Amino acid sequence: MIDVMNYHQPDRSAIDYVRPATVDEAVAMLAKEGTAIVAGGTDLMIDIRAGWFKGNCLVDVKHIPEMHGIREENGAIAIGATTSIEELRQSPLVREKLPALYKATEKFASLQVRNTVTIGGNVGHAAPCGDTHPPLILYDGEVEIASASGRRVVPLRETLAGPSKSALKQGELMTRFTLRPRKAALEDFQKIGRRKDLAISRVSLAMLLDVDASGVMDEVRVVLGACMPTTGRMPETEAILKGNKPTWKVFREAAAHMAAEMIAITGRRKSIYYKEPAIQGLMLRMCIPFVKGASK
Amino acid sequence: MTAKFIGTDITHPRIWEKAMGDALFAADLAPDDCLVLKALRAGRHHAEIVSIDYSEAEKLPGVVRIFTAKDIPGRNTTGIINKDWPVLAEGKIRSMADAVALVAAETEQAAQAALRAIKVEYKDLPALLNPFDALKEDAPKIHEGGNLLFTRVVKRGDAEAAFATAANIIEREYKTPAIEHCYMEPDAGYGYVDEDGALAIVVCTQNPHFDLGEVCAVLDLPEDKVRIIQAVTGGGFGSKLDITVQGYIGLALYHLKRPVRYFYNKEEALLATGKRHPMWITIKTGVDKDGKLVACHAHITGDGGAYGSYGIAVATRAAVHATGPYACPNVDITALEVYTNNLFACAMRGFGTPQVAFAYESQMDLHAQALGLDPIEIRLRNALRPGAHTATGQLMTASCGLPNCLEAVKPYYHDAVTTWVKEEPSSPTRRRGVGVGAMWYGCGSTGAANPATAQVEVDENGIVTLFTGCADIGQGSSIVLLQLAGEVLGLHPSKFRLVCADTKYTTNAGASSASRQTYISGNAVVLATTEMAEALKKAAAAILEVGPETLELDDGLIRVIADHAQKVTFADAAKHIAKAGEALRWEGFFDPDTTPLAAEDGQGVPYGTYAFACQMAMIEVDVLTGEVDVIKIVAAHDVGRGVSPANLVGQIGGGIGIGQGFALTEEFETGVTESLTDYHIATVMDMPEIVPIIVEDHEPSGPFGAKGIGEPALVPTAPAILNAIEMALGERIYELPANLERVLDASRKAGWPDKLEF
Repeated sequence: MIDVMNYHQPDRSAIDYVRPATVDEAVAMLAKEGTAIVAGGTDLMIDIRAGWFKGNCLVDVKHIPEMHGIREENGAIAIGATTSIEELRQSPLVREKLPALYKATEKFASLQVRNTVTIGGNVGHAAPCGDTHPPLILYDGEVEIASASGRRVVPLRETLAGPSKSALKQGELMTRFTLRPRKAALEDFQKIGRRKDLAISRVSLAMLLDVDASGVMDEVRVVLGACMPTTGRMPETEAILKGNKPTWKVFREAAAHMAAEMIAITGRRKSIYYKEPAIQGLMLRMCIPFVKGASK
Repeated sequence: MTAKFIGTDITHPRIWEKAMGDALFAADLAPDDCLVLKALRAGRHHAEIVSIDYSEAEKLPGVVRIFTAKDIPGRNTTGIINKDWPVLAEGKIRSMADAVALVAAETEQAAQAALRAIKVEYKDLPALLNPFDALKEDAPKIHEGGNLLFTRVVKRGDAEAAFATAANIIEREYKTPAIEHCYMEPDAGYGYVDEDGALAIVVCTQNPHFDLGEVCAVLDLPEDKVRIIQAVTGGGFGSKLDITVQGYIGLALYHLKRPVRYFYNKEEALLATGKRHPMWITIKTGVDKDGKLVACHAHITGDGGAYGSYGIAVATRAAVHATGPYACPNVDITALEVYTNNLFACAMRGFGTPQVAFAYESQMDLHAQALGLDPIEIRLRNALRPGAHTATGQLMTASCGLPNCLEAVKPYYHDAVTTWVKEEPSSPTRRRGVGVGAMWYGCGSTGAANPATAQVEVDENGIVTLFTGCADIGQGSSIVLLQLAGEVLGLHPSKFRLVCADTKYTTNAGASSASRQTYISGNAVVLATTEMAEALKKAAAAILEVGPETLELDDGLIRVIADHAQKVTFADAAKHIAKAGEALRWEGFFDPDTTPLAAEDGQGVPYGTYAFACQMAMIEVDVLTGEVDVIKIVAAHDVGRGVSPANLVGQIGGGIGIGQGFALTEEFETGVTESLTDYHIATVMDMPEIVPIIVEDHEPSGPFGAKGIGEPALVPTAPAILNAIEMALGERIYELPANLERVLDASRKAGWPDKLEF
């Protein structure tokens, strides 16, 4: 039974709103209990409306210059945590060097939401269906985390602790992401939602596949989104593909295994009825141009 | 006759306000110092109320008063047809949305704090969440009269005997879900004591005069002590026919005599308002060797949820329309309206006909396939035409535009199946399909009086004012009525003053529902303005000393047709009429010519006229994922006479949007669906290309030949899409929505994923 009382909103006048100008200021504020990061706020507003937010202070980090923008640094792409999804979508650098991330931004929510949501917010909220997660993991994304005790860099995967649960502690702030472009024969992200716009991913998949001179797959990355408690690579599935030529047969085998690999993690929940065949279909659909190209 | 204003796009002055976001809705207009009202909702499906203790809540700061059922001075039941819905629950909870208490407070926060502090003790009862459980003999009774609210039988000829002669018989079961209307403006209203001492309620509504009657009954007040003013209304689609906030606002005003307001947020609007009836339809149809229907047997079970609302009419309409727009001499149709503990079902665009259209149009395609007939051809062979009888025995005499609609769609269909469907789809994993869906829809209430009245005035300055009780809820009825009035009076619609849907100044026009306002209020307006035109001509004839038959009306003048120099202004004619001591006000009254349906066999003349339509859908299905992309819809609609073409196109586009949601994505589950996060209506990005085709098969009883479009626009969309999916996959889906899961299931049943090879 749903708690209809949940619909009654808390007193918003009891929630403070502050806007730090620097990362140091922000982490100092965030060290206090009851503070929460606003990095766009599209999910946080829902939490507040639903009465799930129990804090008393919102720290809006969207106006810290250091945390914003897209740059190329020594072959890697650095993305400030408050860069909006729409800014990513419009970036020629992202489109050229990180095509799978570009594709994720194209299908992300709606224009209004893309203008508001930041990449840091999408990762920090850690929803299993976060559409930036698969491409970020695909490109070996790392995240810089600031706190009162300094800064450290960790693989992005490690910040995802569970469904809508970030591993970041009180007082920590993601400041920027570093992605490593890898030109490959196939770099793709696709999702399945219940409609074309403003659709939460039912399933999503990012793949990066390349072949060596003999036509054998030597680089294989498969990242499944929206299906498991947290998004991650599918190592067994990757192993099936690696070292093989990209044929329809081998992808069918890999797709079937990916479903098994997912179910081993999630168990057979109700939604598996659809997700089991759908993720296989999605992998097969995404590999068609690659298989066709390789067989030429 | 060439028309001046009919068939032309005339922009209503208030359209721009809405387009630009400047229109002020009830929630914008409510004074800042209004008390805030909020209802405590039960949040459980079925229970007895043991006790309600609001002593603590009442003491909280900012809380002005807390009301329960005992504070209701009049009749604590409301309902459009049967009265079974309490404003505040009395002893029993029948659905999660039931309001137990109403808080009036100085602020939102105080109201919410009060809600949290009210202690209610319940004794839960078994919840009945589908009609089959509710119909079991030992099921607890949701209402005292039992769980079967109503049965409608429509019987004609001898269906059993006719099946014996059929060349092809198809029997299938179909299922449709509950649907949320998803109008953009959540229900909102405010109230104050007006200059006459009446309790005035400004509210979004589809039927102000019904609201008036309900609020008066609840408060035990005469009609001059309550006033309903329709605010600018952001859509309704049937949901704003029931009272929503009106009862609460009325109750608080009655006791407190201070301005009060109640705005639902979107979640409350989803919880506390009605839904489309889920229906289980078992249908058996038989055709002869030429594909002509010989018999139709149908059993329809509708889940009415906790309260009746329009449910009896929905069941009746489903039964009456279950043959589809076809001549079928032998019918045996039963429709049940069943109480359950789900959120109540109400009217929704189509009143039960979209559900049965999914069934009868699937059947029509199945017959066509069995006999090797073209889908358009089998429908042409069966289409109702003048001289044919409907399932209720009504003789069709005119304005049966289905053949014209089918002929209009035919070239598109044949082009699509011979060329488009065979071209490469946009992805190698997709398959293309084309499908058609036809429909009919009776305009107005079913076999019941549903008159509209309207008045027109001219003053001694020549200013013309049209009075109508008709609520324009965004569908554009105001401009349609002004175009009709303008046509009769030769006066541009922008030159009228319009007084609309305020019960202090207007009389009953009935509901803005059932695709009835163009037809019924339109006729009332034409009758009123025709009387005024005659009176003006008579006055001008006296002034000019000519015969009234030699005169015409044009742009505020009455002039001699053969000599435009001889003329009288509306103002002078009005002065002449006033001087003679006659009123400068004329009234029109129209009620379609119908008869009630007989209880035992449903025979009778339920409607004055029917709208017809045929739509064709071109779709692509991804066989690996179940995604459906609606590429294009061709929509041919017989509207009798197109009064306002842009409005018709708008209605068709909006109808297709709702129809597509019904077909593919929308499904509301009581207790599960809480917000638009888990309810998927089509967005603008999902909308297909639409080719609207207006078919005009003149309706003799309509105003200038017109009939309705509002609901017909959505009825054929889902059948067309589902028939197209069947063509694409070679596998038919019998349950809506045809969502990702069901479409991928059908694709796998047909073996498509395994057939792909690259």
